Amino acid sequence: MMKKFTLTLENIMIITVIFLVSASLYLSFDFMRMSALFPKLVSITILALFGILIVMKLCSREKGNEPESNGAVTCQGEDDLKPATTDRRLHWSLSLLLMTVYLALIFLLGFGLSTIIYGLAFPYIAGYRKHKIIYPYALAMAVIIIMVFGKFFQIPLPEGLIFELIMPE
Amino acid sequence: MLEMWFEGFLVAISGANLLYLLVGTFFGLIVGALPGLGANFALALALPMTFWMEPASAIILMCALHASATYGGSIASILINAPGTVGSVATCWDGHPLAQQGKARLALSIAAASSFAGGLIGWIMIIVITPFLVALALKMGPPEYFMIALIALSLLSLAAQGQTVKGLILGGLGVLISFVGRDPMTGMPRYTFGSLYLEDGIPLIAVAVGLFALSQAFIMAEKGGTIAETYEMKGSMLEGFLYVIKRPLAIARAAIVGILMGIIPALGVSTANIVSYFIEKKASKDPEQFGKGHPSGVLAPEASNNGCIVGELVPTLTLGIPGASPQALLLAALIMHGIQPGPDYFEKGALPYAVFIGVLLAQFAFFIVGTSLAKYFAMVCKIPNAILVSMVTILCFIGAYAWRHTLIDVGIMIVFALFGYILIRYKWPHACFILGFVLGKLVESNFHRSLLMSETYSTFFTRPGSLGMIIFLGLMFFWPLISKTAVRFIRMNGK
Repeated sequence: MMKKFTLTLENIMIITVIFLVSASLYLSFDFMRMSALFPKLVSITILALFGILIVMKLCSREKGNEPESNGAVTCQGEDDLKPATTDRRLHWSLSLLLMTVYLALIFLLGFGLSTIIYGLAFPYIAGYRKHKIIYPYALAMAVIIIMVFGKFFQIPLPEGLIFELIMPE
Repeated sequence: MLEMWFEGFLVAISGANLLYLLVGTFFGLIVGALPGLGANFALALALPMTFWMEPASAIILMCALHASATYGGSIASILINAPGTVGSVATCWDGHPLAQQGKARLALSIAAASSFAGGLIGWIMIIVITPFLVALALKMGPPEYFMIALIALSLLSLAAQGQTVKGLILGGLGVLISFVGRDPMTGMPRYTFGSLYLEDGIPLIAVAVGLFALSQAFIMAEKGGTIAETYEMKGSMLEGFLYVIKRPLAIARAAIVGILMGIIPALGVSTANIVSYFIEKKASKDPEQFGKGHPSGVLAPEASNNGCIVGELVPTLTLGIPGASPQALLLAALIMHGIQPGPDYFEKGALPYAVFIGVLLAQFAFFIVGTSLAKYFAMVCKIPNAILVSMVTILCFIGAYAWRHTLIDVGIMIVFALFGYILIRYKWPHACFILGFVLGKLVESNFHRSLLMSETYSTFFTRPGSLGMIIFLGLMFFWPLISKTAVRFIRMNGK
């Protein structure tokens, strides 16, 4: 019997990619002949391959032998590793949220301050509570980044919108 | 001739030059080990500092930087699964699983020894075959470059690890995303939506760091604990060296791939390490172990990397064509110091020879410094993931930002990190994506250049080099069928 369609992360990714590739094919019709050749060719090939993949998936669903993918976290060489229990395990969406907040903080507060905040917040949210390590680590990380990249390598690190508003030029 | 080599040797080992060699090695190792940065960054930074140096010192410093930054990339790849440079993407695939098994020291020693061996083989081969290669390189045109890129792209089927359709989809996606930006042939913006940022294309650093490093941060955060299950660091440095010494064929194979990729302009380490990885996998008796912590999965990409950077010197020094962007910086340094590279490069006194000796000494320098510090690098595996994930994230952020000084690159990296995470989670062969991304524009631009040159498709079949490669590609494609038929034929005749 055919199984019910479930909206997993993988399915969301497939739908998004199909949409984007279709859009790229549509857009390529506006390109010059030479510029359009490869984008058209590659887009059509990808869409055809997705067609094959979907047919393959449907066939294996009908047979009922599709490998169950519960989305368990596995990566190269990690299959046989047991999950650790010492720290809290963060869901990917929370990690993503923290990263996005960190990026927004860099834009607002600059690299130094936001790195201290992120360096303190992430381990804490991940359940690591050794304050004697977390505080010096967060501070050291920010100082090292500023000294190595900002001062030594002369990379103009973002100073933050707020700082720029308070002290323009 | 021998006198010149000796004179060059004396110049290279003078006190100040040895000091620059060591400084370059230390600096290169640090920059290489920082995710996202790499040889380009190190050389670009060092270039203005060499203004006041003697020409030999400047070039030796830059050669040391290049060699050690390329090796340094493997450190971050192995320990935190973040490719330190674009040339150490393939090293992650088996290097990090080895670190997860508590064998970080073994992986690091294999990386050091194979990088050294690759560089050494590259150096010897370059010295011997440079004159022949110059003649050959002068005969190669866009059709040959197109065919070479196509052969490299055909490795997608190997990279797919048995999931051919998914691998081809990802490879195609990589190719498609490489088209974002101005078309190098017509100058027409494609998929830029009027954005000036997108006209330069999607940056490789942001894609590679996001797909391979930051995506791993999600996984490390979900796993908790530490990278290595055990606190014990299994595997000794000696074990790693012996592993490499016992595999001269694998080293030679990878080094040759690296040298060839280096000689051909525009391919470079980003292609060499991936291609040599899959060639090694194909040649291996236990290919199914690749991706799960096979030591040869570290050996091959690392040997080819350092072979490649030596190979890149051939077009740079003898034709004045930089094989890759770090070589362009080296070329700038040479010209800045009054050395004009070209076919008569070796007829310019002792300095060109000193440069070659400097390249050789750079291999020894990073090997000695790298191996003596490897055990300290390996301690990273003991850091709790709660701390390490934030460290990796911060380094990835600064790595993606540092190259073009824009936070948009960081945003792009986060998008690719999420994409990479989904691919890893559902076991899609994500290596295919980067292979397509690296080779996409190369295939397209050389195809169009070939057609512009001859205005007919027959150019691919009438040029001997291109035709030879088409036959090779055909053989590769039909090899399973050919070998099966041949076996059946032999069995029937035997009966």
